[in-house]
Amino acid sequence: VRKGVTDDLTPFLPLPPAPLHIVLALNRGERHGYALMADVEELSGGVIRMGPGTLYGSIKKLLAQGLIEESDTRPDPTLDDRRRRYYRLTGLGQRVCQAELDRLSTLLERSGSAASARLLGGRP
Amino acid sequence: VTVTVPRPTLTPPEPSAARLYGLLLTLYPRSFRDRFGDEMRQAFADLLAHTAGGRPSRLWPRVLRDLVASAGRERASQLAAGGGGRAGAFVAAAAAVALLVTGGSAAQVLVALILLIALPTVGAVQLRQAWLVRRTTGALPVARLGVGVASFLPGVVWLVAVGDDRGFWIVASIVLSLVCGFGLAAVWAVVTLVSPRRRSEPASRRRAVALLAAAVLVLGGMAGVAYNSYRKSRPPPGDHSAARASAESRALWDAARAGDLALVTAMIDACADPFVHFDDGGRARSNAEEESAGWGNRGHWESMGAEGRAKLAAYDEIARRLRAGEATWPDRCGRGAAGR
Repeated sequence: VRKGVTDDLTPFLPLPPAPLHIVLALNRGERHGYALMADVEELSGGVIRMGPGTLYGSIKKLLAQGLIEESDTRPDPTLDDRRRRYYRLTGLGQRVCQAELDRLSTLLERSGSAASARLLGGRP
Repeated sequence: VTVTVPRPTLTPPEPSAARLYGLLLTLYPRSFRDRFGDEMRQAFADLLAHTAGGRPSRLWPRVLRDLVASAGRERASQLAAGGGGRAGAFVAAAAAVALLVTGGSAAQVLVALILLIALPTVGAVQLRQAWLVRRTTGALPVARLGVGVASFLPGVVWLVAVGDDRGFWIVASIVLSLVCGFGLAAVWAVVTLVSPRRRSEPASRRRAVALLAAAVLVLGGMAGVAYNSYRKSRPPPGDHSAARASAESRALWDAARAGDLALVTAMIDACADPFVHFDDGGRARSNAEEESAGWGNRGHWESMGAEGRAKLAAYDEIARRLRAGEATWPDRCGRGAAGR
């Protein structure tokens, strides 16, 4: 976990596509590997279909950055394979997720107004 | 009375596709595998279970693409973190590409071998003719396959003896050296020697094994090249092996190109030509006769320009002499003696 930079989120931004989608999926709640892959596919409208290698490569980085952590709780240990591990966002991860969403919103707004201005014949 | 016996509850066996995926995980660095290997296998099993029809064939393309890309990334990042820096990461990436290329080539050769040997059809006979053509023009698929397989041995030895992930890189570098030249093995040895590694094994042991592997590779490569040259230059007398057939076929080619039909005929009489086929009665037939039977390779020779046409003319002349009784096949040219 990076020390002393938790107030300044800029070193974490922008998030690459795979970690961004994982963070967004975890923003919905705790997830294990397959559930994350399924959520990412659904969130991206089927555009991003992650395999286990990309997923756990991203998870490794997010763990190292302190944006996510392994969860101790298991929804139903009797039904779950013991190999499954659940992950959740840390407090830092939630703030980074929000900051990234804000950044993307701002980007959309600016590009949207620029496009509107062009369509109306003006110059952005 | 019908008695229903309840099925015992058993843990379902792991699908073979999941076991194979577990094996493929060895492409990742050991630390990554130890941390995430079980989870990745579970995720793969879940993917498999949720794939339409549970058919692995629909899942493999996606999983293999992901595996190659992510394993390469993890290896590169491990190498960069371990002291190799950007140069190390570049070598890792290049080695991975070389491994893929050579692996593809080895798979192609293997499939060709199976097709050529296992299929007892006319198509297979035609393929075998193509095989002989390739052999006599210098490409030795069997040797290529053998070298390819043997090149993996030092890596396996490393993996078993040292218990170190470096085996993968030994394999990759050796394959790279096969593609680009044996000299790269020495480069690999130097890189291994000068790069500080965060490893638990004593540095002296790692260096010793690295040097040994590099030395075996270089010396083995030199010995292989030397032996191949010797074998080509001096075929053993009285031997009707593929090696001799190959060497003599080149000589036959040269004679035909020079228009020396007498020499060609003499060589044929000495049973030097591998392009001889035997019908069901054990009668030898020339290429020209094969062509008339509809499954020769006249078209191949014609497509090879003046040299091919010269050889074809020689064969036609030989066939004419055979038909006219001007030339005969010695008895010692029995079935299997002509490079089969």
